[in-house]
Amino acid sequence: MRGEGIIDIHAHLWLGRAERDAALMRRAAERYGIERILVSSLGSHRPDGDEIAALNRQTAALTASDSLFRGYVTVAPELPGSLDALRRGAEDWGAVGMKLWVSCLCDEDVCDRLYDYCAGRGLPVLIHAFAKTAGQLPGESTAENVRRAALRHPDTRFIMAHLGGNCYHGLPLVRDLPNVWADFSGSTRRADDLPYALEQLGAGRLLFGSDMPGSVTASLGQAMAAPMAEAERRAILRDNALALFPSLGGMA
Amino acid sequence: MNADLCAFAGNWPFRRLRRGSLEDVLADHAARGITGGLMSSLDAISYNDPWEADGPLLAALAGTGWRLAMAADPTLPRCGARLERGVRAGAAAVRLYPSVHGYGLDSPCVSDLLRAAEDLRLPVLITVQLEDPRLEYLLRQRPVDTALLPELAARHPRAALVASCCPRALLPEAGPENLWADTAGLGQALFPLEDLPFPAERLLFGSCAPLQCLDSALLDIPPERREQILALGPERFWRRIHD
Repeated sequence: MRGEGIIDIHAHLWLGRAERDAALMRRAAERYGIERILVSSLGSHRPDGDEIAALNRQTAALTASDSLFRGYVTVAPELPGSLDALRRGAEDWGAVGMKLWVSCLCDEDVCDRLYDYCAGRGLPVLIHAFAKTAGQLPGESTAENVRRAALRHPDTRFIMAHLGGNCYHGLPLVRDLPNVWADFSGSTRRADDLPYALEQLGAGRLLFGSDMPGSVTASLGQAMAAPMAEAERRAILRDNALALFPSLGGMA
Repeated sequence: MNADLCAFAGNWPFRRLRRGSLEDVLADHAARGITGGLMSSLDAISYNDPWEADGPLLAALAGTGWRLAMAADPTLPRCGARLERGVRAGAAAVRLYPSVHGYGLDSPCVSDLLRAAEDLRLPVLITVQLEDPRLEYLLRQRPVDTALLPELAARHPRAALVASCCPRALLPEAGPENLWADTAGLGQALFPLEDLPFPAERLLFGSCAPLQCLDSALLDIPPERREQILALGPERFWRRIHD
């Protein structure tokens, strides 16, 4: 299905497994009617500059070769040259947004100039956010970090991934921030998270994401089941992404 | 008949379920063509006498295509007698929650329960994980050593064991013919039923609804395998128990 399909704003390529992951996602796109998939590449928790470059090369290569995919440039803000990496992504290979790597909290000072650049070019910033009961990673942001970053950068548009991990913790913290959107990607398939998100943020600030090559059905099933008007469902599955990512505008 | 072998109704103490009442669960399943299966009470999990919740659920299921999977905690005294009472009343299966009730599958009390279940011809559903461990609140689920399941099934050949709500990474090896698995919990990757190390003919549909999203569970079943997993598999499961 191409033309009026779903836009998945959150999917990944694992370092060194890009072809395998892309092949799986192509099959998923065919089966579930996904028209465009926005991917970023993932590697180790503490990457160096060479690894970040390798991650972005594989994203760039895929997006150049298959129009199903568009890419985020992966940036580890604490590394020297992070702004250059962001510029190369945006200006050389057409990245549609920045994926902030989990090596540093999203409200640390080193992120500021990156957010300023993104605001200037209209690039949304995708932030993994998760408030875990156990196993929180160093550098893994929660909605509290997203809130601080968004307040400090009101002209930058942020996407808080996974509804902040624990939606009951995360969504109230960003409810009053119009520059924060949320996606409900992830392996969590609880039936009540999306209805809660609709109450907190409204359909206009929610985006469909899958976290592929993890499960796509976790998110898609919730999008099908949640009680909302069809126009709202369409907004979440497609229209909000078109509005947030100007470079996807040609699809409309 | 399409069947869900892993459905629940009731209250979950740790977060609000918007469609958790029995009426909602039955209606949501019926709207998707599922008119029967095994239903368990969420309330019974935390009751010292699970039958306090299971009894009313059993009564409410009368006249539907659904049967009760009663809760049991084998660490409670006289568990065998409780099973007998449940079977006499009409329970069709027993559901264990080792991750919640805090015992290992190698505990002697599990063997005692399985012996009783064999005598009563009562299928035993072993619930591996109800909540994403990253999102637990108050309840801390204990990991379940699912690698013990094939051995348990071999030691109790007259019992029917089902690995239920089992994440794909914890799915045990195929084991003997009396070990089954439901699909609830498997869907953490793309195309979760492909390349499973478990025989397709022993897979049963399970949703873990309303804790988990019923539509997500259904989307995981490829159309070409839907009849096998939702209808033929459960029929074969019941035949094996009652023939």
